[in-house]
Amino acid sequence: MYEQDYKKYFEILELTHDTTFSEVKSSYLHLKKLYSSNSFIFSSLSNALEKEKRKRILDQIEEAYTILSDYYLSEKKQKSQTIKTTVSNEHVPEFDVYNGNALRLTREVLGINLEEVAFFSKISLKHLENIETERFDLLPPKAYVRIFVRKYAEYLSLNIKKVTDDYMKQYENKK
Amino acid sequence: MKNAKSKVAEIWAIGGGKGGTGKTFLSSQLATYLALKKKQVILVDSDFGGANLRYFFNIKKSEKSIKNFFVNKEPLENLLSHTNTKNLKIITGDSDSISINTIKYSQKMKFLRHIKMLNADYILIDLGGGLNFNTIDVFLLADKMITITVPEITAIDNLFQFVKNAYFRKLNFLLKNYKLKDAAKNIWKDREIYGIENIVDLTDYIKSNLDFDGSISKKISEFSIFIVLNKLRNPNEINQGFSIKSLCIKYLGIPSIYAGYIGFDENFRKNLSLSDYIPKFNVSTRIQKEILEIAENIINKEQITISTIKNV
Repeated sequence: MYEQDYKKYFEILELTHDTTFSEVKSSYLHLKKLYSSNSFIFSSLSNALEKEKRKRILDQIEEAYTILSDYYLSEKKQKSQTIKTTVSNEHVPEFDVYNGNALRLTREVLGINLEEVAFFSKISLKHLENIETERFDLLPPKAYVRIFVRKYAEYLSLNIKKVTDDYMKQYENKK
Repeated sequence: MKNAKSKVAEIWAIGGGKGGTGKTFLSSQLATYLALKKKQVILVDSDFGGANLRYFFNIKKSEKSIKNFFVNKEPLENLLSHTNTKNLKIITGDSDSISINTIKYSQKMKFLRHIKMLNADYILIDLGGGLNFNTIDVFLLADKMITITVPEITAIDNLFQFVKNAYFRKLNFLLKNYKLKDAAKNIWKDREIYGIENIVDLTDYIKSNLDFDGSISKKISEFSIFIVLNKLRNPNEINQGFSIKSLCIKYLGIPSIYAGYIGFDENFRKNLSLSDYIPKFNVSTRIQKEILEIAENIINKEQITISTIKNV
């Protein structure tokens, strides 16, 4: 696919083409949330509530995101081949056990900053920092930590169950 | 006529339907910002129903106001008032004697022509509230169409109506030039026959059936609006700007740019509720930063993105 063919997908995600992958992801998540919700904002456009129309928009958003993810992945690969950076930068590493450090590393490879995670997950930045640095004493009660970790893993598109189980095991052990 | 001028000004219009969303405030701040950037700026208060721009510039009820243009036929250049800010002049409005509905068509056209002829780098027009076509026509005259709203359903609803009306009127003007007067209206009337549900469908229909050389499509795509969200009381509300923008794009089919937001400011209210004139209208440094971002985004046609707002 040529560069200009991607234009359409950037437009669907309401972005210009010179943006970063992190931006694409943020916009995708925002739009997905908006069009799957029953936000009060829809009430002002009376004929806009039709389910079909929203379904169509959601499908388009999904398609655009899938295609653009591939685009960024291949572009990243090309870049890393030419610059010859370390192999670990090419794709998201998998960890045997997910701890705070593993979450941080995954996040950094994806080029996502903590503020962005905080913005979308509605988890405070401080909690997220404490999750990554495993300052268990500063974190809220267990049930909350589990929810936070799950949300965080979801945002990073990781295996939610594995990450939460791994993380909570360490939480139990060290606490 | 244009050649006689030393420079061609860029016109910014600030509107958005509902009253009290901060149109006058935003106009005055953007104008000040541009003037501080050493641009020649003229700010026109065209809020005929509730002109109050002068409060922001500490100008007492002026002899010279826009009224002189309509009533005494004085040229607009004669009506410029100086402000405390270098490079910034304003034309004050008048809310006593002219009501927007009494302005004749020919007067309005003359007003629009004369605004364009003012000698400046930027001409900012502070529009009144409401959805009437006189307001919308001034809005459509602008090179940069800026809307401002607050995170309340009533205001957002008004914004959508305003933008929709403006877009429709623009479409009608445009098609008139192609000898397709009332085409949009008629197609819309029979929309069920054509299978048209919303403005996006209507635009698509026009583009694929009436546009033979692509020039209509090009002109339609030039219609784009800037969105500013005002009086935010918590950072989560910033997100609503992205939602409003998205609905403008996906349901109204109008290219939209989320230019920025302004947080609620308690001191600002105090400032304006003083009974005496304040020597100089000051805004907090936070607001100054927010205005800077909005102004630069409008100048460069750029938008705020989700990661640029991390420092809230």
